[in-house]
Amino acid sequence: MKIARAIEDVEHAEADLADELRRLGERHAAEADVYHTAHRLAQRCTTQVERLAPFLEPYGAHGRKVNGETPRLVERARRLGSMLGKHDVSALLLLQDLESIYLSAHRAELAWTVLLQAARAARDSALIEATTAGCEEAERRWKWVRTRVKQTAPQTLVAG
Amino acid sequence: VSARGLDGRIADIWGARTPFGPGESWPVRVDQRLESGVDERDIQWVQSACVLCSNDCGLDIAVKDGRIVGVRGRHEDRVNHGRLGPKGLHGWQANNAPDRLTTPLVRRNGRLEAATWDEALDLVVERSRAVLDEAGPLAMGFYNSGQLFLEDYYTLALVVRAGIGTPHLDGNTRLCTATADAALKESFGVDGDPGSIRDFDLCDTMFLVGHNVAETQTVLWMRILDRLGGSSPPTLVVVDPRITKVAERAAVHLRIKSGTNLPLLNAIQHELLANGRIDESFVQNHTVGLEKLRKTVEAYPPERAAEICGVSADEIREAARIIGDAERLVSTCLQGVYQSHQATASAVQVNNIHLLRGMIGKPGCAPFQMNGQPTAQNTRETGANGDFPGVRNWQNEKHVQELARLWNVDPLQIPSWSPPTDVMQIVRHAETGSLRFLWVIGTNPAVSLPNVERIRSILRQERLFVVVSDAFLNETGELADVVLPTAMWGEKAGVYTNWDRTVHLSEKAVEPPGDARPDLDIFLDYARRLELRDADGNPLVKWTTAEECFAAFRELTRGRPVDYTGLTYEKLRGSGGIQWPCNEQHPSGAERLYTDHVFSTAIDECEDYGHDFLTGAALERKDYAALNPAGRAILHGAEYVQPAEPPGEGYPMQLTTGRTVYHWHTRTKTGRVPELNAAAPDVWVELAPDDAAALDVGEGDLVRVESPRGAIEGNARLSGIRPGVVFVPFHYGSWGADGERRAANELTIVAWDPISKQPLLKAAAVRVSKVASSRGEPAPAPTTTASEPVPAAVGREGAR
Repeated sequence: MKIARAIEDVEHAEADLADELRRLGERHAAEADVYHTAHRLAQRCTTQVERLAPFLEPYGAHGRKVNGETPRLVERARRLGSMLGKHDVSALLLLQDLESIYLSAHRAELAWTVLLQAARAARDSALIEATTAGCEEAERRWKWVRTRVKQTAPQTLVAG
Repeated sequence: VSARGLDGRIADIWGARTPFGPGESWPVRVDQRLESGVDERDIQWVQSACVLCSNDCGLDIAVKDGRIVGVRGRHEDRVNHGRLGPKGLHGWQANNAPDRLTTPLVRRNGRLEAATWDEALDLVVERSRAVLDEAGPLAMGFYNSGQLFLEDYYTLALVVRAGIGTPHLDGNTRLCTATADAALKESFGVDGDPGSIRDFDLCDTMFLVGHNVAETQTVLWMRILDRLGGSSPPTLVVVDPRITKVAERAAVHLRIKSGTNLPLLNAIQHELLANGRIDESFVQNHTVGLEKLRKTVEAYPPERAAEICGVSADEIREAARIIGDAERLVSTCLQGVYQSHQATASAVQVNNIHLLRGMIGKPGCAPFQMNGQPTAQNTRETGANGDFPGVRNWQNEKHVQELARLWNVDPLQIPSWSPPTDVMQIVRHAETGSLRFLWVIGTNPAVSLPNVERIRSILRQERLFVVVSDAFLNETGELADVVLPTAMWGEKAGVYTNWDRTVHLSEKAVEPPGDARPDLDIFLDYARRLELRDADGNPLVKWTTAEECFAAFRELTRGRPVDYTGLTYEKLRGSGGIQWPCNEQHPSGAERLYTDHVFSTAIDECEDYGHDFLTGAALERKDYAALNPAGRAILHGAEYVQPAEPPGEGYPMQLTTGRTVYHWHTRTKTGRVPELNAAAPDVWVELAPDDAAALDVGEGDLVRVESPRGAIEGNARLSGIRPGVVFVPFHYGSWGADGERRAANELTIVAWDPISKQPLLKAAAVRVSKVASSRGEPAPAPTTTASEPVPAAVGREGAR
């Protein structure tokens, strides 16, 4: 069995996504909803990965913790955000960043789906339960990004 | 001054008691106030309804020699049975204020100067054309009110959505009632409170969550007081961080930490489910979502909620027991829910409680998602805010096509690619410069939006052209390029609807002063000058009077849940208010919705496909089809999440903002009424006695309240507020304060509920410090309400 690989893929995807969400939040702190939602979702990536803790040893997977706030990364993004806050180029940048994070959110969801499929085939009901919850959270993230993209694109591309 | 029988009803806010028992008719008590020296025989009475809260009490306007000289409650009105509150009794004097705007103003060389209507409107139209040509409709924004009439709103919605073609139209209902609207849509499919005001007469239990009804809706509180004084009085369960007059009458008062409604409501549902206090067959037949809800609330036993909410588990259990034992339950939510963290998620839990108990659509049983403003319901119904006209669904192509057909425009002309833009996002577009034209109508964002320093700086930008329509030159008007003087209530005819769907007609009683004009006429003139056309090249707006507009709106509602087709001005004339739906099936109006327990959740009937409760992600048609509620109500579970700005280092206390009974909004009207102004002349800061002692602050001392956004100063009132919480009334802007900063919104956080987009005006972290001693002078806060000074509060605490 190579379930360890699927578990580690989830961990990586979640860790990357958390970093990217924090960067998004800070770069676009002037968009209050983006700031708050991105940070909230980033925090929840940690909880997502913790769901898998009981399965690391049984499947021989390496544990990987999701970073909390990375001061250097956050500081750089925050500086850029405050420079761009009142400039109309910030909207275009927001659209780009949302497009990029949409892909990362989907990558994470796919990692959870792969793990869920493996859990089903392995008949591991505890892993199925943990992974189903992970899939639900993963879905809400790209749906949020999609909603925000749909709202941002018209103003960014057509106004002005 | 004569206000029949009393002291002008300033100190005696609710007047004499007229007790009644369950199911009996609330006795009539006619309240009246006339200018002193006016002989009643010289008065002409003109039918109207009060516009100083969401109750819309029926009243007649007293007119003498073409002037408003008083008011009298209408005894036949279903809402108030003749009564009026202090604002209703006195507020009409604002119409006669000497500083009404009587001519348009245009900014020339940096100063606002008097201009003619032609000059002002030509300038507005010229700027609109220039912006439309250079940047297109998405550079245009409109922000209106909860104070106009239905006809004003509907005309505005048509002009903006089909004429200009921008999604950037919102109302200040975003600050007051957006969550009510959102919660009703999420649970029942469409907007519109299901119950009747008479359910307050019939119920045996009331559950009031974040709803200081004694101050927000004084006449509804009179009704409740009379039930409490009659036979078989209802039992009250109250959730509020302050010891309000409502809380004083509660069997259980849950004085929770601000922003913790959700875990509390989850724990109550936990208890209802654990103890089998649910109507299994109702839930089975008429709802979807029970299993997910059960899973969510299982994680909230009373002990866990108690820890989060800062109340005892026993109190939560007792509240749940009372609610679980109720046979006829009425619940209400207002700003304590709507302006808090997780607003829609919490409001929906109150709907859940009624669904779990099967207490909806029958006498004495209803959840009420309350409104704040008198005509907020119409902002929503006409689509002058974040909704589509006629409770239509922006994501439903058939609904958009219906609108296009009714308006005779290309469906593509109507922005339906995303939900109508909320005001905080409109402001953000103005901040980045993609929005260049903003028309503010009958509202005062320079005082009422969060973080007003930011709002002011946005409105001041050279690149943004700001038009303000108002009856007075308020703080926002001061920043405008053009100011248009408007007629107020009593100076124009129109219709409006209260929180229990009661529709009133307000007749024109007097002429507006000087050149002031009704908002409707201004929008019509704007559309004419801008030459807005329909698909056949005819004028887009087909009406010229309010009554013709109402007839057009009626057609727009045909076949929708919000059915006005049976209503006419003639039918409303002389009536005591008529509820919608009013149509062939319900010619006298329907008292309650969902009496057959079929909800408006069918996929082509519903107004919205719903949201993810954590992020606000908009669900799409396919998601809704998968849920397939098809006439069943929707139970939504939601987990508690940490607030955006928890009190902590540097800012250890929690700010909550709110109203006092004597004022309305930013006091544009009530600040000009001598009795009301004298009753609450200036801002104050409410602190719990222990918190005050720790800061060496005594009653009346001048304190400074600071948040990461700004600071204000005010005199301290030591009240029965929950320790750790600071209350500041939101009414006081710079007007009347020599420019001094005292707006509560200098402090508030820029954050909003993910679904309703309602700003979190009760969620900032602050610190308080003493500035100066008062030398014994108490704070200028009313002593008659929740801002009552502390000895009484302490006494009650001790007695428990």
